[in-house]
Amino acid sequence: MKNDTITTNGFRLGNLFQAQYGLIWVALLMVAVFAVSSDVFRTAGNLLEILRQSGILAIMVIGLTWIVATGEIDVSFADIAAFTGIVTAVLLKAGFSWGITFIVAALLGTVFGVISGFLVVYFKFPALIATLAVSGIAKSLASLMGKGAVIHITKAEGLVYQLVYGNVFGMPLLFIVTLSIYLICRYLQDRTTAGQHLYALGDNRQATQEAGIKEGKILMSLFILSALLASIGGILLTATVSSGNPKIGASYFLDGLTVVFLGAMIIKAGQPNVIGTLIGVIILSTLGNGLTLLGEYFFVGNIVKGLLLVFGVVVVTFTRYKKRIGGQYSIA
Amino acid sequence: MTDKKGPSISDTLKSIAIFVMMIAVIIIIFSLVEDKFLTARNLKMLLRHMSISALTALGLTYVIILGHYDMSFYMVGCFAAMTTSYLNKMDIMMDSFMIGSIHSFVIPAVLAGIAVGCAWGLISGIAVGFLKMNDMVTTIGVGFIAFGTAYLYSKGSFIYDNFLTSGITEINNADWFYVPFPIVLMLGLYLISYLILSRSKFGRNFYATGSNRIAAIFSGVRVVPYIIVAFVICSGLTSLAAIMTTSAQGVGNVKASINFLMPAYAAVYIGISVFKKATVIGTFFGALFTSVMLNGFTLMAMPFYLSDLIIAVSLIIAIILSKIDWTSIQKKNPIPGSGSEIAYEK
Amino acid sequence: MEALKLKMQGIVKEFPGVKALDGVDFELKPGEVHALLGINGAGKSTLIKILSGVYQKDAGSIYLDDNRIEIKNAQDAIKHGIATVYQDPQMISTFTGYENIYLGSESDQKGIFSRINRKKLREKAEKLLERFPVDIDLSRPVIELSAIEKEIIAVLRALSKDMSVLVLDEPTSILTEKETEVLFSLIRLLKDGGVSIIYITHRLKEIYQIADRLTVLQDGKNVATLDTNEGDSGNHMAIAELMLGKKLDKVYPERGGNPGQEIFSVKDLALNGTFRDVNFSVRRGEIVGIFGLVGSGAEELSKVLFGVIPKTSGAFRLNEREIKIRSSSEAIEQGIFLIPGDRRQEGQISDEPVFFNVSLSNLKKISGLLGLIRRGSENLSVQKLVDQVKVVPQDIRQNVSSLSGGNQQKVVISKGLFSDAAVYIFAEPTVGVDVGSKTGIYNLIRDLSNEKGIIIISSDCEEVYGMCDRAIVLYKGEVAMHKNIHQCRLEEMLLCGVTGGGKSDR
Repeated sequence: MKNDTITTNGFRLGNLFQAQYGLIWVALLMVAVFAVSSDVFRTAGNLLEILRQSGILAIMVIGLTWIVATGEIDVSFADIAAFTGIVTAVLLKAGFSWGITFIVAALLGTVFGVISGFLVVYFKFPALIATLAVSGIAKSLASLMGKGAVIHITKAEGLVYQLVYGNVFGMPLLFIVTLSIYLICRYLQDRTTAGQHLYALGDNRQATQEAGIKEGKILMSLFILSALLASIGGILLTATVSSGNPKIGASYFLDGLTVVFLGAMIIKAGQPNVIGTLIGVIILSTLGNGLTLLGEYFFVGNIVKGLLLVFGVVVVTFTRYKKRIGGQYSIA
Repeated sequence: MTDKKGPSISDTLKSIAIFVMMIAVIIIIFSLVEDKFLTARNLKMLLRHMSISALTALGLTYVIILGHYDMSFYMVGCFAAMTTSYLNKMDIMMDSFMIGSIHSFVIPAVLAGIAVGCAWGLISGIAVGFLKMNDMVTTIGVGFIAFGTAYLYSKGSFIYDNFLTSGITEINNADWFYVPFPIVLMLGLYLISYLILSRSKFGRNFYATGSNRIAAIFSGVRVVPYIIVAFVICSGLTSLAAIMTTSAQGVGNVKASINFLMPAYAAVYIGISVFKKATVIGTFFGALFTSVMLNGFTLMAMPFYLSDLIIAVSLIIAIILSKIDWTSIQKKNPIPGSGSEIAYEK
Repeated sequence: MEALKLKMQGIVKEFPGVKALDGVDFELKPGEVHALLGINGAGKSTLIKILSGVYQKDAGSIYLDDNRIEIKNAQDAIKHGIATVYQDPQMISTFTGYENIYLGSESDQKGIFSRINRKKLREKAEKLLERFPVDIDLSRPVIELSAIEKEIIAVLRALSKDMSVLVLDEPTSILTEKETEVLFSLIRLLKDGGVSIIYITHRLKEIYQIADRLTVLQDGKNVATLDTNEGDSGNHMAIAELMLGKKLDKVYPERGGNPGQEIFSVKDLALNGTFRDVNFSVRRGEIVGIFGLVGSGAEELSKVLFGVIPKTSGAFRLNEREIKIRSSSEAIEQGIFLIPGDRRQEGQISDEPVFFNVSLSNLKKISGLLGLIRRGSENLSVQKLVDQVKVVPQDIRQNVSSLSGGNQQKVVISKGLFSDAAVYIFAEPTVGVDVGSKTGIYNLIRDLSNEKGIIIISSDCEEVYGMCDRAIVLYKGEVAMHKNIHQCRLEEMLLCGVTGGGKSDR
């Protein structure tokens, strides 16, 4: 009984293969449209820029990918990134070195993850509410530090400059770093017990419990990891655009969720996974880049991303292997 | 048998008492710190601001009762506000007349705004209720689609036209028997919702579906229509709130209701921490609480961007406190294996 | 005396209102397959749960290999080498077979980031599988596997932990005939490998095919331990009598007199893969009883009759009119109500008060203008029902969760009564109900039958036999018996339920 079929109450919409296939066609079409409509798009420089910009979002959402895979959610990652971005700017302006700034900012950002983890695991808050509250705190503190405004810093130099703007063998260093992190994470996800258990959690909590796997520990670690990675993303973003912006939360939020669900659709038959997320990031960055070049207003991006997200959820919802409730028949 | 006793009447009264005391304490502190707090003018302003966030929270209450989440309403409101502003600007009626100091074309503009808001809610409702899609992420997607579409009205810039002349601001400014209209609206809608949710058969079906969906089905409740309706109400009421905000600000702003998310959830969940489940009265208390906090801090010249902080911290404290007092709180996603076995199976 | 693998002595286990085990002795020889038999409430499940650490015994001792052991939780049981495979083993549906087998023990290393060598795991799993004459692709996600394959994976999971005692709880209830054969060969191989097996089932034929000995539990006591000699098909009737013990302990109400008009009938009802050719009619004054054990299709039948599961084919007639039952709300509108088998999940809304639960089935009766509920009217009618049904305590404002099982069931029954149905279906009407309340419920049902159509669907054969006027027995989805109660004996009914009554199996 093959279950990779998209159905809704009996209406067949096709199967997963068709959806993945369709997405690839759409992606190719999109690239074609952009390439034709904008000469800039076609240049190698531009394509490299896409990769470079992908890096930051990609790092931010690794934790989120796994959190969604366990069946929870984290809506705070983007505001945590905003927060650490501001902290970075503030510290740099105050004269601290990049090294110290990085460590302090990352630590502070991670604290939010600890809070979220505690609220969800020990106080049994629903993940949405806990991370929603934490995101509000992060966003407010970010605004507080800059009195609501963007904080500008001098352009990065030396090592940091290299990291952000430099190329290695023609590829942006930032992207290479991102890719490396992703390869490590893929290893963790597919080849270690940690990754195995988190997917088990997402599929059947009872079976996982019976197997003696500690659910609380895993969730706590994931919330902390998500905050940490979001923080790093925020720091890198500040380095890239030479300013800390407390308001980036909203856009990265939509982007982050969209790429996770796109990625879930692409690989692993409906389950969020890191490589899929990375591909999703590249697709999304291409989309954003193309739209900007074509002079489309940014809000079109919102509409398109919203549609992609909903589409991703549709596919993920209906290809998730139907679980049995109360015997062989699912009633509700 | 590990059955837990439900909260008794005295328990609930106790938590209400504690809560009322908390609000009283806060009010006292504020009035001591800032003597402008207890003035009639300030209280009136407090209630005015409260009316708007309270409406949003009210709509969200319907969804939370069902055990779902909505992340689209605050963005759908923006779309509704822009729709109304646009229609207001376009002066759509051929022969408009005056109702008091309001041009008649304002009415359809407002109604259209609410209607489109409901339409977005319908989309979310069908996706979640009928297609059984994940509520959180689907509504995030729908919300952003609505938000992006809202920009189409004026490419993101403010709509000023006709605002001062059409009388649309009267919606916010008018007084009904000396009570500002927004407050009347809030009280009226809360009263109606109270009657629906706590006193009518519809409310029973809502609570049944949220508490045990399967048992509700076995009792003959048609759960899918209720889910759809809840999302429609949530988006609809928020659209109304967004239009009210627009009226108050006197300008069509695409970000009209973009900050409504956190206060709405805070209000509903503070209400839950007092009454153990989502209720109209609880949400009212929650909205009152957050409004009092915001008002007090604003008077003390707290910058606007800290408002989320205040609300978030209040929310967290409220829920933690409630969980410390009672041991029988149930999460929406219980850790399985927690007392679900029937103790005497064959 | 030969050494015993496992010895349970004087095990006592009580639950509020119910003594599940009353000093049970049970012995398991090394390398034997020992079947555990008993009707509903006899205590089989409880005994097994004590062995697997889910419950704690109140008294008695357990010896493993002549050493006294304590089993405080599930991990303890595993540590002692006792593995249990339940009816619907919980698995990670997207994981492959070998991943499920080694869930939680994927790596020898400690630590959260231990490396998983998938290839090694798969080879290990396949090695485990090698010993058995089954061909399962352990690299496929288990959601794609058939029932027997999933069971085998569950068994392999137990084996991977080096078990010496394996408990199988109703393993064949979801298996076809062929699959059962596969399971048996698996069991024989395990036996040869030195594993001792406890096999819980109600299917007598299977016991004689696979088990070495059988123990009958009845009313919380071990009443017999018998050898099953090779080739002996056994005296089924004698065993049935042992399972039943003193007949009709509980007082069932007197049967009714003359049955009246037909109220409800079912024709050629079928649900693909679960049951077929179900035909019966319900008359006023006559209770129809359907007896079926796990896997017979009885549970699903109750839900199909109520519209919660859509039928594959067949027709319903109510009061001479053909009707459609496509949803629970439609069923209630037509006048059919099901008191469901799983009270906690399906029957009651635990966090709400009694009146909320009761009136839910027919809110329009007590609501007036604009849907507003007339609280006074509601209180009156609910209180009336609650008093009539004798829920204790009588406060209709208390939460259902604070009531005892029996009273909770009465609340659900009240809900049904509140809907003013014409036909009432009771699925497992007294499961989890203390003895005192059972009588009350039975009397209620009998009184109700004077005016309404009553169907009782239960896996408790005593109950069905004691209550009904016409008995239907389901076995593996088919009607194995359909007789007037005066024309059959209880043992006959039970036998039918456990063997299909001589009908050739599918």
